[in-house]
Amino acid sequence: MTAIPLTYYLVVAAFLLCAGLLIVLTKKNAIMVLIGIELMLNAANLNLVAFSRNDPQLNGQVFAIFSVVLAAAEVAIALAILLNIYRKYNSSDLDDLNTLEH
Amino acid sequence: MSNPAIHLTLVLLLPLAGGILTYLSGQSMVRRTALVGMVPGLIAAGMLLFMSNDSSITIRFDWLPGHSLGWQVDHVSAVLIALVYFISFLVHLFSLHYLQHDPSIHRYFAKLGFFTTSMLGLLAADHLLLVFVFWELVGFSSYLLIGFWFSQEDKAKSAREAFMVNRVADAGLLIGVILMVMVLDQPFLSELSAVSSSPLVHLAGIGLLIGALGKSAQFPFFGWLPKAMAGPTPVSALIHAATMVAAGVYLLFRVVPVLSPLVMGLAAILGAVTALMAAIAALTQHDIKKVLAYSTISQLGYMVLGVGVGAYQASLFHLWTHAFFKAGLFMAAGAVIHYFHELRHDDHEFDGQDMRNMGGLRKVLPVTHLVYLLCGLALSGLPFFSGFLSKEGILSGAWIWASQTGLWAYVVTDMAFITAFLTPLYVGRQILLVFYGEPRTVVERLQGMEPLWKVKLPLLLLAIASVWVFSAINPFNPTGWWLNAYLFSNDIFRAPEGFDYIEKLTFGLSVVLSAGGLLVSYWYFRPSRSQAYSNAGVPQTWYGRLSYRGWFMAEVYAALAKVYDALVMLSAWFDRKVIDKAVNAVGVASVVLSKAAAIFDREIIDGLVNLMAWLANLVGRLFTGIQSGKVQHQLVWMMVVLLAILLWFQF
Amino acid sequence: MTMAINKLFFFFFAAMTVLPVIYILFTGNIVRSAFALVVSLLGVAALYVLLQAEVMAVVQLLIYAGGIIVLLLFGIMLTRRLSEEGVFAGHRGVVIGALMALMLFGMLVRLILGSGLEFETAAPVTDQVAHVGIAFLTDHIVAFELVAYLLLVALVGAAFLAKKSDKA
Repeated sequence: MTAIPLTYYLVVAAFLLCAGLLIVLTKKNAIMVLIGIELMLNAANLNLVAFSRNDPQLNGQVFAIFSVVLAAAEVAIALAILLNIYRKYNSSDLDDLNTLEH
Repeated sequence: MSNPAIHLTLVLLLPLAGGILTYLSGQSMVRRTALVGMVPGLIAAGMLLFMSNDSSITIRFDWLPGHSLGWQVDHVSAVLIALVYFISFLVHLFSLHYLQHDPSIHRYFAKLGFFTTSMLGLLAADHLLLVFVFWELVGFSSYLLIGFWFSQEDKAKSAREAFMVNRVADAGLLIGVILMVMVLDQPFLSELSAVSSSPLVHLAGIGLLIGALGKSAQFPFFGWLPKAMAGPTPVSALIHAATMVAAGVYLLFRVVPVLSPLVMGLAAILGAVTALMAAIAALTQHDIKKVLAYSTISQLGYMVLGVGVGAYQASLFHLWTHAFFKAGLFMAAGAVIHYFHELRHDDHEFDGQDMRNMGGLRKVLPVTHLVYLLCGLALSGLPFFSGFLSKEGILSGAWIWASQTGLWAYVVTDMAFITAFLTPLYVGRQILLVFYGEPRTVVERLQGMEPLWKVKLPLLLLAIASVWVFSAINPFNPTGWWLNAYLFSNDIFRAPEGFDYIEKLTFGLSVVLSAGGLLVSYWYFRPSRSQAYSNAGVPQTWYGRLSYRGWFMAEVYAALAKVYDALVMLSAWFDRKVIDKAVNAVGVASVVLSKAAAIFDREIIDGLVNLMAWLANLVGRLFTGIQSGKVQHQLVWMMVVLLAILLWFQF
Repeated sequence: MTMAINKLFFFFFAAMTVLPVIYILFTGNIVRSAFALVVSLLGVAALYVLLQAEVMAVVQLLIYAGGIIVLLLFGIMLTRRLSEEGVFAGHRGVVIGALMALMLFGMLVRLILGSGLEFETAAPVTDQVAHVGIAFLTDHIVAFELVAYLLLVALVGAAFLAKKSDKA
């Protein structure tokens, strides 16, 4: 089943990456930013898996599995931090977190 | 004596050197040191006569590049130098007697030497600037001598006045000299040539004339000479009879070639006017020296008149004769004054110069009386005396000139002849009042009043010189001066064809006038009336007062001084109001300017600096936008940079 | 024929991945974005299957679609005052962000299409689960252990962080 060239998958992955980046850069809500981050992670995983098709050791997949696990941990912690922030600043707008402003 | 320059220097400087030596060696040594300079100098002057006999001694030296000064001793200068030396020598002798008790006598001889040197320098100078220098020196040394007793206020004031009036006249002289040297380019007396009559020539001539008028005490500058009698009498004998006052006439004599007819006419008029005015003033004076002072002014007027009418040789002749008899008269008067000082030295109220206190002195001062008589008769212009010969020349010259010039000129001639009548009048008055009649003050013969060497010798020498023999062989011929040939190469002022009757007429007229004057004076002041004179006071009539006060010249000077003061006040006011205001305005303007500069500095310069700061601030604010503290912004910037790097690697 | 079906499957699942993402980009509704994310992740899982990566597909489904989305939804609920703000959130700075994203996409696509990468025609691995399991415990044992440890730390840490403070 090599009818679909590799580059198609790569393009999809690229699209996911850029879309996730866009979401991260532009959305006001912190949760939306997290969504964006997930999308970017997925794009990377897709890339990895696509390339592991050529690999008899399936290193790409292994790596991708690790990546997923780490993504899960990261989301958990991020949400915990967000909860704290929400309790303190009463808002989940990222622009309100500007105490480091010059 | 090979080098004439050295010889001339000796001749000129010996009197000064002698004077300084006398001053330095002090009062006690005066008797020995006073004549140290004069005796060798006299000998040297005699040698100078011989040296300049064949050809004039001319010495030129460079002063500034392109300008040279010079000395010249021709016949006239040599003769006059000898004259000055002779009379100065006699005055030195007489002064040793006259001032024997004076504590500052050494200072006196120093000043006398200084004066003699200055006068000699004036006679020997060739360049007009040199003449001017010595002219001023002579004026200054005469000031020193007149003010010898300067501790007395009025004497010091008289000396100042003499000097100041001279200085005013010297302004005119300076103008004349400058014009001659710079504009007319005739700086050397020996090289003067006739010039055309342009306004500048008139001006130069008038300037020189004014200088001569001041020095020779002519109208309107004669106010100082009577006042100058405040000095010691020997000084008056030297300066105001024989030498300094003759300097003006000498100058005129020298510059005759460049005097235009206008200036000559002016000189004639002024000379005659002065002669008349002074003779009138001499008629009423009570001070013995003042009579002689006015007489000097009058005779100098004759000399100036002589130059003005063109008979300048006669003027020089008159200068020569006048030097002898006037010096003799002054020294004899000095002997009289000294006698009275010795007689009444304990009485300080007694005026030894007032003729009202004199009378009958011929018994106690016989030699003095004889000298006075001889010199006085010479002054009167009586034949068989020197004064007659020289005055003759001037009188006939005036007549001839008037006949050629015009009817108005006869006023001048008439004034001269009237003066010729008045002169014997005041001379006779003086002789009669002093020596004849009953003594108005008790007199007695005193010892040592007429010592041989110091008094008798000078007096008699001068008296003898006043007799005709030593001037001319023929007592009646005014042109027979034996120095005529030597001095003028026989170029005598003679009447043109058809006018010799004038000379004869003048001869007759002057004899009549002088004899007549003496007779009138005898009748008026005859010895039997002498006692009444002691009570004579100041004249009360207007003409009497005019004469007695010397035509009020002193008052005229005072009024002029007030005018000058007013001018000074005016200029001071101007300076205060106008010039100071201008200066203040400049100050204010500079303050305004400085304030403007401050504003400029504040606004513009500081503004520029502020602009820089604002720009930096702006840029800073722009870049702090990066550090917004907002995560997404920072992410955007990260992406920007990342993309930039990627793009750079792509291309 | 098989190829055409493969292509059809691919484009369908690619669309299932991409379109929800586009929806997320344009909407402001957070909850709906979360659900769209689920759909997208399902699509990715399907793409994994197409890539014959069965293990990965299952892992993706389990963890992403099952766990992470639930966490996200919990997070949404806990951090919004639903009575006041609702579930809408806007966006800002779109222009510059779009510019960046587009530029990046353009570069990547150019790179990809110009690189000439190809699948190799090798036979796919048959027993993938066993393969992956053995790989975990032999080649990547260290990573495996560390990840386990990390998971523990993350669990404990998140629980601690999310705890309500006593001072409230």
